[in-house]
Amino acid sequence: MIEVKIDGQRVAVAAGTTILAAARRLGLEIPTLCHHEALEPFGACRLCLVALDEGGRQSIVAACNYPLERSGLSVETGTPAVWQARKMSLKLLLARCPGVKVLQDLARQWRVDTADLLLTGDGEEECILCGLCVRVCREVIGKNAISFVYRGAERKVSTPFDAETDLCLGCAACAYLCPTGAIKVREEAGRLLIDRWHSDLEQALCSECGRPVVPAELLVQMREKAAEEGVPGEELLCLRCRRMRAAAAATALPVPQYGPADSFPARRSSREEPDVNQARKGK
Amino acid sequence: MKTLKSAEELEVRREQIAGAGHREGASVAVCCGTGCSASGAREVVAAFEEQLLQRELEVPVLTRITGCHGFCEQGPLVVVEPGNIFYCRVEPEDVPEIIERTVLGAEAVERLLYVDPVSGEPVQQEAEVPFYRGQKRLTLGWNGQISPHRIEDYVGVGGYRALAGALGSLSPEQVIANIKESGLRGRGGGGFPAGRKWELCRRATGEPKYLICNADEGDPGCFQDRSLLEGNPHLVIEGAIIAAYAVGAAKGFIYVRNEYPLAVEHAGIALVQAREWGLLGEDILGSGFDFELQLTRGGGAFVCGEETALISSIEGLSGEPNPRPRPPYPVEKGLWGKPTLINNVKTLAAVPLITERGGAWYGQIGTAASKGTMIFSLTGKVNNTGLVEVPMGMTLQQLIYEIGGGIPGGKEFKAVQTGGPAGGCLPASKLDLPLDYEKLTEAGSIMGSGGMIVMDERTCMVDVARYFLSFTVDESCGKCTPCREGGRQMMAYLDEITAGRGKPEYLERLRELAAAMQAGSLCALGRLAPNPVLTTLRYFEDEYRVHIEERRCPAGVCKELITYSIDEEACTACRRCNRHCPTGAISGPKKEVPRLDPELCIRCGICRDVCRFDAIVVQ
Repeated sequence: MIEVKIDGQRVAVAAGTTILAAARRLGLEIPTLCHHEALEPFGACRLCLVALDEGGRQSIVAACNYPLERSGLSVETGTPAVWQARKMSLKLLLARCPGVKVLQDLARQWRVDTADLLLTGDGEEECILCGLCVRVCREVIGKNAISFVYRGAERKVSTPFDAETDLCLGCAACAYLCPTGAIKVREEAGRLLIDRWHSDLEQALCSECGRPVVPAELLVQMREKAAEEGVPGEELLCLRCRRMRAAAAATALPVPQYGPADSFPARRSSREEPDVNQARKGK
Repeated sequence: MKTLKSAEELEVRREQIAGAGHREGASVAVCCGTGCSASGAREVVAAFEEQLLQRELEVPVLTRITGCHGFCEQGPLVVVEPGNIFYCRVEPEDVPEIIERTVLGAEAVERLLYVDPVSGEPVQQEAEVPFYRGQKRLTLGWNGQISPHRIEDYVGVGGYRALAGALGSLSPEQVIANIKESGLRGRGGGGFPAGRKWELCRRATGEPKYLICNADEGDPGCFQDRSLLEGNPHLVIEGAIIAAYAVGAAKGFIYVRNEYPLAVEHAGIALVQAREWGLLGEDILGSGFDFELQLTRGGGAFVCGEETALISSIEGLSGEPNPRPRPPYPVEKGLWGKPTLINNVKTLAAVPLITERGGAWYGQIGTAASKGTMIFSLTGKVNNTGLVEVPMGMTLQQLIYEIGGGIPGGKEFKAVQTGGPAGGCLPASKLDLPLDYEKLTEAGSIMGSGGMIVMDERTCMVDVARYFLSFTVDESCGKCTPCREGGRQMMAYLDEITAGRGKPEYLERLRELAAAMQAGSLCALGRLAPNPVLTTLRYFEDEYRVHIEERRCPAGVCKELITYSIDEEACTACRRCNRHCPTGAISGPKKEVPRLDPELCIRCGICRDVCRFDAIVVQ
């Protein structure tokens, strides 16, 4: 364990803990856009900048990826210089993506506007290049279906050769983590579409109601993984049917008898539920 | 080729090479560095080989290809024995005369000698040329003596002796102590003490350890790493092996950009030779030390010179700075998470010399904190462009005027950009500044990798700032916000100012963006990128203000702010401008001062360059 100071408060953390993690432990809030607990730090958005003092040597570093390695370090999370740098990062991102709500909200809160910048986007660009999508696909899903391509101002996230790729399973973890809503997932005629990645995927259907539930290839791979881990495969149910069935099973359990059985009318109505589904299927 | 098993066997081989005696008697050495090759050196070599063969001489005369001599301005360069006579700008047509008079007749061909611009006297020997006189060519000097693809040449002049000495009689700690004593600092730009870096890597835990030679030189106008690898690859390899021994590295990589075909080729050949001779691989020179070194070619992204981006690139990832920068430093956790020593080509090239002659000796050269020699690429508006190696502490004045021969065409010096595109522009008032890491940083520039671009009075400082910034903006990997977006926004302000649409507050906007990039960027590329803008703002703010307030470019460069006209008094109606104008904007009857049509004029400046009477006026 090492001891460091953040905003004057002493905190003991394991060596290698990032400034961000240590600060959060103290309940201090540091803004981030490209950070996620489940992913490796990336250090790209530069909103989490803090002032670091290493025994007299001062610098501004990103809290999300700066590991505290020794005792005696001192961090300030809200100096004027820190705020100036953070505000500029936000201002630059807002100029790139003026239509993105999370940036607009922060800008209102921090009193940042882009009026004095010469280049401001037309609002169409929604990607702030935080890389959460790229990292979740690589680090968690293990697919690497998307990556950064080009460099500098041209940089963007894309599939290989900007074409449809069979690496994309349609898990939509990218869309789930995207802080700006730039990745849109939609269903059309029973298929799952992620236009940004040119993905157009066949879906497996709910064995109960026949509605599309999950991309077919994703299901195959999930079942393989489950089998490897000794989890028995189950029949595929949509969320709704799964709930119905769970509810039905729960209510079918022997119930302590406090009176006549017909004093529980709710039970009957639960059992009727599958019929509703049958009706939907027929639609 | 029998593998060398010990230092003694290396010495025996060296004596055999010396005894073979190609060097005695006559020989012709032609510089085939990239500069001379571009000026036709390969044709000169072919002419020598063919014509020497035709003569059926009793004692054959060897035509040798050497690496870059540095005086690229005067290439192709040829040095002829006997007499060690130095010829400039040699063409294939000159070859018969050189063979007849110098190789066979031992006299100089005067018209091919370099003429000292000050005394007007021809100079016979390379060392007497003013360009070389003020230099201290500790590492570059060998380039002219050896053929880069012959390990025999390198061994013949004492190569690999330092390695044999280190492996035979020095412990790794002693090698490191020696480097520390020398005061050698990283020549790639950072200037971190090399010995300290080695020590940190030696102490780091983790196996195996790696060594990387950073040859991803990418500054515009810089070619010193390139010339070392092209001209004397064994020197760099020897330095790398000694460094590997010192830190305990088992495997190494020379990371060289694929745009340097000759460097790739020569380093590749040298590695094969070193392996064949037993200088790489297992049990080097019977010492029990194993080290493998290989070539890795980079795709040419400028940011890959940055250590963590370089590591990503070797690991097979895209070349951008690592998500987890420092700490831990690459010396602790680098390539594939193992301790990795990364040194620039020039740093490693200094190692054999320091190891052999001692750190104390090297430490005598230079200033208090900047030791030894530094190689600069002297380019731009200077008479003697080329590669120069000088002791640290030399002033910019000495470098530009005594070695560089001053500004061509009698023009005024205006500024010098040191340290490449991320460096700074220093004005005439800083000419007495010594070449020293700290002194350059104080002045707002950097030592960098040794770029030195000289500018004369016809250079617009706003345009220069815009040019260098456009380079770093193009080369930004785009990962972090300040560098990617900030650079683009700064470019927009500079575009407006040079187009005559600037507003006074733009200067403040530029400073704000620059400060944000310096403070908030992920790697040194973004942190240093604003330097050219900041230094020109610091030293040439007036010039910015004239662009903004008077909508005028004093240097006559910014196309949207200038008009060309002809001075009727000065014009002699020679019609030279008329002939060279690419758009037909200059016309008129013979023997009359021509008219210049501003509608057709594209302000390319060709007329101004070709006019012999200074009659083209730019306003």
